[in-house]
Amino acid sequence: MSSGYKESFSIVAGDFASAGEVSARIKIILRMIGIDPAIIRRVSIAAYEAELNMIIHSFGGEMTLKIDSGSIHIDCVDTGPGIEDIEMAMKEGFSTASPDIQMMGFGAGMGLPNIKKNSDEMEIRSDPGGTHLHLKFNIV
Amino acid sequence: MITVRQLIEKTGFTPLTPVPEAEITSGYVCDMLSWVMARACNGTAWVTVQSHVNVVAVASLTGCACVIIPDNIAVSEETLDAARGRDVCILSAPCTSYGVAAALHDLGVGEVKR
Repeated sequence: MSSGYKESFSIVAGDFASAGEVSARIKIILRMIGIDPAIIRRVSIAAYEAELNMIIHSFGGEMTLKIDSGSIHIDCVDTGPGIEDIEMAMKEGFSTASPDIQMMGFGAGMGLPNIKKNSDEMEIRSDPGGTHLHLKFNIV
Repeated sequence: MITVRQLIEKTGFTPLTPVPEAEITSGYVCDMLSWVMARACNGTAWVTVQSHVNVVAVASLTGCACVIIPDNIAVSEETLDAARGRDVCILSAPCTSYGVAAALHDLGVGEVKR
């Protein structure tokens, strides 16, 4: 991508008080640019789930939004501890969140399935050193 | 289609934040936030026993017309401050989630469309 918009946001592990703020910021940016509301909804859902995953499960990291003429990209890069079994994590209802977290309404095991359902392309690489989730949403 | 203000007038639910001139397009009852993210949409009246601050983010991202907290569950000032900051309307109801859903149904509010 030679031109377009790019912005990165820091995600802090365990910072539930701020959960959703990065996704809300992304939603505002997409609205300002004039992206179709149906696409904004899909990006918002995926971004929120990715943001929550980083807050709940990772040591923290960064979410980057990139927009070019044909697509929206979201890259989530954290510093670990990695997803032990990606195949299991992709199954609806599978969750490794603690009971305390689940009592707050998180950890329904819908995170990655919701992300996959709402993105046009999803790539995930993970090892104990960190996870990289790349999402692509077609604008046209 | 009823508005949030009409819902308050007809049910006596208590607004805990400023009331918007918003229409209610559907009703949804759920306490798991990912399910709400996937199902709620613009104009949904969301009923949940969760009253922590993250409810505000979910309601804002999905465009809920209002969040209805049943059973007179206390809502923290932190949550209400966040709601005011994001123009999210929170109502308190004395009845259970079932009672809130029944009231919404009686007023002609249907399910979210899938």
